[in-house]
Amino acid sequence: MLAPSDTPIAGPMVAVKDVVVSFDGFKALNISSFSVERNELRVVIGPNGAGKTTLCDVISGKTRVTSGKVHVDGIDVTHMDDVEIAHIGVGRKFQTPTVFDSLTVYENMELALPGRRNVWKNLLGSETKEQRDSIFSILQRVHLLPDVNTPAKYLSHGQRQWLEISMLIVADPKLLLVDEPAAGLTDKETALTAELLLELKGHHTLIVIEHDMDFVRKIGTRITVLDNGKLLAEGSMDEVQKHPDVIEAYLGR
Amino acid sequence: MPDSQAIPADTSSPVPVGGNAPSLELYEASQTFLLRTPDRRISWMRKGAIAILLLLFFVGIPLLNMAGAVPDYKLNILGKYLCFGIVALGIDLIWGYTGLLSLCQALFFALGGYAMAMHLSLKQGGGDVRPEYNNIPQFMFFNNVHDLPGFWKPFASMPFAIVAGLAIPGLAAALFGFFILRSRVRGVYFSIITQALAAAAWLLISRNEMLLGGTNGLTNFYQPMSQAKGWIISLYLLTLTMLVLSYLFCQAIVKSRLGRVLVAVRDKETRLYFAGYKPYAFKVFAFSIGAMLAGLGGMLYSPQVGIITPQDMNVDASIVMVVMVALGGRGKLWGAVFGALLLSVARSSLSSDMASVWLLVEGLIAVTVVLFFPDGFAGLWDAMERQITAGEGFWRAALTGLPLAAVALFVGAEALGLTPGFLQGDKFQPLGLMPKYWLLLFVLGMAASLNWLNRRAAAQRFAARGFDVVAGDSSDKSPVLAASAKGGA
Repeated sequence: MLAPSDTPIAGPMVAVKDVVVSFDGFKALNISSFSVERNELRVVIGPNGAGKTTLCDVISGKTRVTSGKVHVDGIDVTHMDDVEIAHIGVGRKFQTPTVFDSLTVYENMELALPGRRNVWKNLLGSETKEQRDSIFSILQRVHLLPDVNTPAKYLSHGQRQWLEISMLIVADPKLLLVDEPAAGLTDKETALTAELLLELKGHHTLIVIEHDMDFVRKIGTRITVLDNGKLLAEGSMDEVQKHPDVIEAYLGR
Repeated sequence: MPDSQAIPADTSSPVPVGGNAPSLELYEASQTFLLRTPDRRISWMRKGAIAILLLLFFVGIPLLNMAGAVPDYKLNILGKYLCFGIVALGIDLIWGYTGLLSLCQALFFALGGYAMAMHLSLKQGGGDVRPEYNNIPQFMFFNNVHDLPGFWKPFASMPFAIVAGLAIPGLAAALFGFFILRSRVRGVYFSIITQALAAAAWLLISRNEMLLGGTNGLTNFYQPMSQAKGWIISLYLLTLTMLVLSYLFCQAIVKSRLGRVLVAVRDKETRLYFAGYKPYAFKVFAFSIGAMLAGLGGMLYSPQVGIITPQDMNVDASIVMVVMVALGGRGKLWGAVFGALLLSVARSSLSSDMASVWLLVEGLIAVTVVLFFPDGFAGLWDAMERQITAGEGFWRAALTGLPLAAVALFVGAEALGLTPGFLQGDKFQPLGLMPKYWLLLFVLGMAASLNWLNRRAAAQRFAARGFDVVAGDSSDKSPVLAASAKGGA
């Protein structure tokens, strides 16, 4: 895992230090230290309301921290807004599939291509052959090729999930925050999603939030357990499952 | 990370998944993508409609006018309606594509109108300026102003007036849009703020101290402009040409990737943040272009009408402009222009035939469109195209298109003053309503009910085949799509 030339600072991809997020006094997140190495696939699990999505929100700039520091790729993003954070290479998939409904599958992918984010560059020019090919090959992978000209509103739930993941892949970010990619998918669809995420590992850093334990086992890597906004345990699936605090959090007090 | 060893170090392609291995499926899909042309019949239908419209407006109507069949004043009024068509294009760009409901377009329209009117009020613009009034516009003299104020002076130059008529609305919108949109003001809040802006500007311009003619506005332009035949035809053709150019300009925006980003702003703005776009920049762009188009419309409006007053920029003027776009079909450029012509014609006919109920009818149109006719008349054309592509047969498609044809005929006949006398009610008027309105209501009512029956029958056929028709918008889904949406979920 030698750092390529475009990553100036060694060290973890994500470093969250002493972060507190409180909503009207309620501490939604209270983490003293959380870090994800480069090209790691980290799964974050935890009961409802544990602060998993808030953690993603903090890293991607959707929610501001009350106190503490967040670094992505060595850059302090604590006070950056969501667009600036996206520019340093953080991509995000939302809990409910979020795609542009009236645009076709291809057009959705086109807007996710890297570069061309300002008004004038969008007015002129079109995508290159390589970009078009990369869109097609990703769509082929997620079985969306036949729907390339279908508006996204006519896609099924699973297809929308895949489209959103495909949009992340084509944007080629350094860090992907993937919020519940398997929610509402059939077993077959879940298997393909897991496969996709595993293929991304090694090229990208991923933080995956998931409820589905089978899914987590399938992509089986390092797991972080959150509960009540606090970091409860970290380790492999087996280690985490044996952890007394985790058992207590899941089986009730 | 033990796994990282297995991944090859060379990742020249930005795509880690799947690779770029060519496959037949991939090749075929890219071909269908590149060859995404509509059905041949549909492309003929479109080309035919465009050819007929261009011929009618550029050749037919001027010829009818020269032959004496269409009176000069009708042509003059039609030119005025075309100005609203240009404004409507801008509104469609802002509202239909970008999803911002701007309620101050009449303000931008009037800014352009005032810029041109200022030029036309001066001697250099052929205004009625007399020595006994110190050679300045009369209203100034009456307001005890004896020298031309400094800000009026550059308007003596026509090029300056034209540039100002575009730049002032454009810059005003850019500045205003920047401050409200950057703070992520959205939806109805944006509409309310723009409406407040329109109201404030109306109050401001109405004041005599502004030296813009107060509530009386600016008038006394070069008289022949709205009276001499040569001027009327020229201004009509100029407006028409500007409308066509504006249309092509908007179409270029909409067809570019920028157009797709605008639609993305409308669909899911938050997604764009996390994809690294700044939606406000795109919104400000659209808002500013829309304002410039409104300014262009206004610049062509004041010479043809011969007067511009603060009434042209008040709150209801803006709302009427928005209703035009809703009626014609937002998100379709030609729909906006059609809506502008339709509502303008309906407004002039109804307000002269039934002055007391016009406002009620206008409100009724607005409510009906919002509740039952969200895609407007442009939606009927699209439905017709879908039916033809799906091979549903000529009569079904014709039935769908019937209201569009009936309304277009009404607009044409009324705008050109060609409605036959018996339809105007010179023989009889059942229940005090002219036969032309009865006929229009009958055709629209019949088409609506037949279409409804047709759709219900189609839904029953799907149900019989074991498909659930997805609730809400069964009309715009082909059975295949509805089925796949259900099957995959």
